[in-house]
Amino acid sequence: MEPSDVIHRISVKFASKGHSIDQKQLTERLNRLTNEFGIPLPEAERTLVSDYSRQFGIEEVFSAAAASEKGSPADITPMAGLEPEMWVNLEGVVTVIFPPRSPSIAQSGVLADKTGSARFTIWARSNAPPVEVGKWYRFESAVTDEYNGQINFKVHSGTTITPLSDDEIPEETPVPIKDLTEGLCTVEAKVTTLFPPRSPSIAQSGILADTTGTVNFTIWANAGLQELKEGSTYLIRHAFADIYNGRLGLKGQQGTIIVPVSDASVITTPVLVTPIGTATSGIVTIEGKVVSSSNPQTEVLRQTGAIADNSGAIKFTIRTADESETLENDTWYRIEGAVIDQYRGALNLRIAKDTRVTVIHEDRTLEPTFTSIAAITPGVWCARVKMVQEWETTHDRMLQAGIVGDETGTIRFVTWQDPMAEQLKPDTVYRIYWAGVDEFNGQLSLTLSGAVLIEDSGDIEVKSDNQEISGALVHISPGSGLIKRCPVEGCGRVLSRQNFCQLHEFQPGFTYDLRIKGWVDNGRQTWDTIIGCEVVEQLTGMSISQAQDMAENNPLGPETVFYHLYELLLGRYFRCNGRVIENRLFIRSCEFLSVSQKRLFDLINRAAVTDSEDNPPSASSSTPAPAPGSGTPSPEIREQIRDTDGADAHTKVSEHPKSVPPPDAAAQQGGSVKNQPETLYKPGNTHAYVAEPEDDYDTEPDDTEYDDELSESYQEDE
Amino acid sequence: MATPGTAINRRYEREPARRVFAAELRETTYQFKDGTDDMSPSYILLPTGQRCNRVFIVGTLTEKRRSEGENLFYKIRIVDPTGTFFISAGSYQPEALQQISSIEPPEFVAVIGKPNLFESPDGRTLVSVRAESITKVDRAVRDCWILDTAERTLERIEATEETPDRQTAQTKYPQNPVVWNRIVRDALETVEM
Repeated sequence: MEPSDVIHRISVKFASKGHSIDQKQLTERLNRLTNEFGIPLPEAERTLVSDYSRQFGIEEVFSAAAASEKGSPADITPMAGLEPEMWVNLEGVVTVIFPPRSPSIAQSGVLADKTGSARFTIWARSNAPPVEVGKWYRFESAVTDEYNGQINFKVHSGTTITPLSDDEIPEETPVPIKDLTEGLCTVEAKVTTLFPPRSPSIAQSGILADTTGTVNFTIWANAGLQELKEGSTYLIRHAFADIYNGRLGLKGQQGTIIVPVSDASVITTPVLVTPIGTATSGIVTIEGKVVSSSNPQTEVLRQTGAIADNSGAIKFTIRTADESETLENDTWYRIEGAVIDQYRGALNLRIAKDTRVTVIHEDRTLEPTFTSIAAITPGVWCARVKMVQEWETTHDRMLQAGIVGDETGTIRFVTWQDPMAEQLKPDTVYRIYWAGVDEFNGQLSLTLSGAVLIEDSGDIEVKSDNQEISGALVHISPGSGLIKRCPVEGCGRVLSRQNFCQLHEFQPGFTYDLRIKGWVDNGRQTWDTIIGCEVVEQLTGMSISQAQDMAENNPLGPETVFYHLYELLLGRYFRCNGRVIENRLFIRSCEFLSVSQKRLFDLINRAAVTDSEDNPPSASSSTPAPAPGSGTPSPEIREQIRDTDGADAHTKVSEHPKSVPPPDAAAQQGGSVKNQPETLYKPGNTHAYVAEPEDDYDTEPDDTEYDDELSESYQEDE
Repeated sequence: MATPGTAINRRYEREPARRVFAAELRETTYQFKDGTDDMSPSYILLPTGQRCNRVFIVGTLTEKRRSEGENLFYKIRIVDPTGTFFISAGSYQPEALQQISSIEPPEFVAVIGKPNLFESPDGRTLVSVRAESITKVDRAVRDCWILDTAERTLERIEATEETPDRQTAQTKYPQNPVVWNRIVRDALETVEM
């Protein structure tokens, strides 16, 4: 959809009602909403229609026009190139067919080619021949649409569907796992892990690896494919890769062809030794020394530990089920064909049943390198640190927790209960060898269990305990703004409106102060915060004497200053430095936060690589992993639920009246379910307000208000 | 200053204002009270398993409507990259009311408020936020909010600890919490550097 279409549509709509709209003004308003304010085009259209309707005093009748005029595209559009409201020719294989959800729909499912996939709907009225899963077809003159941000296409009476002949079906060559993208693909890889069965609709699931990387796979029960064996290598053709749960996964389905590869050693056992420090996901051969070993917290694992060479160190795990021999501490090994996977940001080397492990007898030296705390990432590291803070343990299995630090920063640590585990002494410097570092909830944590700790007589000046926080100022409390303080030496209490000090009674010779008392909040944690005069002046650009002028020259007096601060600072994001004293944050310096590109990119990546439940339960050494297949439906099952969400709109109304989305969503769903192709697209809804219970607003008691009152009574002045 | 003796040692902990995208808030259908007496706080349970009695929202005010009738209140729409928030302010929120009356759409605004569920006459559950405060902000604040909300939402999706709230969410919301992953990514992609 183009802005010009929207402008055209709005003009025509109102022209038909006898109102003409200035094109220039309309264009400007639309541009302003979409460009300046980032409003999605459909919502901008809704806003403008609603606004003009009110302006003209007419009832809103909102409906988007049909797709633009029919074109005659001669070429085949790759799936990845689909955009909403196009007339297209497509070629692909039907990978899924969903049960029909309405009598007006003959079939719906997913069509895929090498570049990607899209859902399709074949209208009953189109009289199209039925399509079959696993077969290739050409769709000519289908029309695309968008629902929930995903492209789909509709087959109507003008669409032709032709099955592809064998020589038209594209041939595929195996793709290295690290180069996999969404769409149909062929891989040659080894099954390194099979997960326990989770659901009747899944025949098998697990992890595939080649020397370039690893990928999770799922084989649907209805695909009728041969059973894969752990440790065997296969050529898998016409599998379908898609991103689920932020991770790329490979699906074996009807149409997929699996051929066992007999001479697999080339793919699965690299001859070259990878330095541990440069290793990434995939099948590797390494040579290293076992530097730590700890008792696994779960019976699934036989041994966990760390193995190092002079380039770095990596965690390793041996599963009980794999029946591999355990490794000896302080011994060098050559490990061929082990699989490296990622868990909680850290790499993990899995020594499986068919991994070849040989002891290296030759004498080698290992030189540990210390890493500064600031440079630590998830993995295995050596560091020289001082214990700076001990916390109360929050878990029975914890021996000790707290903070260690060096000149560059601090990190939390945890030591689990273990006969071998030792406690750190406060304010003492240690050399820590090969401790594991996990990332959890964005915070790094150093696990000392299994690591070697050596007390060091030196000292470290640990980077200051100055707290840096960032968050939004979500509340400005009364007592903020321009206040009067008792002038008596050493008192400084805040005076009442009548210049009354609790200790020194009336003080007409008060001094002014400017400050903010309020709450800074990052969405997880809140800080009762005091921002002093200097920082307030710097943030607002208003000096205390200007504030004084403002208060003295306005009928509302100091309240004017309060509201001025309110308008300038409330709801803004800050990065603050300060000290916490008795749960209150005293801010020393503060600046407005702006978006950092790195954080943005990190988050985009994180949204794409979130750890899923597909992780093998064995990969963590410090945290009990959830058992697979427990209670909740498997991701794939829920994915199916999600996939058919829109389709199930009708059923949901009757079965779960409470789970039906509010009007806007319902309108869109209704649009895609009920309407014929002529009115496929129907964003927005004009009844959103009507449905809100207007009468309740001022009569309803506010249950939660009391906590604010409490807060007021406890916020004593300094 | 007289304070009740029993409460002196009780430290007041303010609940964080949760960061939630419109798309997630809109799907919220479960509300509960923590405790049994009238003063017990009331929470909504977000589909990602977070209880929530206050939200912080930054988006574009696209529309405001004043009530017709005796009680003055405003109903406004605030749009984020994922959908629309329905916000109200009445005479019990005088500061918010005063602010809203002086802001004309379209404008970036920050809202702190309490979410509530309502059932519409046709039986659907709707989420509306009663604004405690609303201030005019700029695009930079809006972008910060998108990153902030993305991060908090990802944390909720990624959390593995089985809290009672998370278990309740699994029974109340049929969709997999990770459906929000794509929404987070789409929202992040609207931020221009």
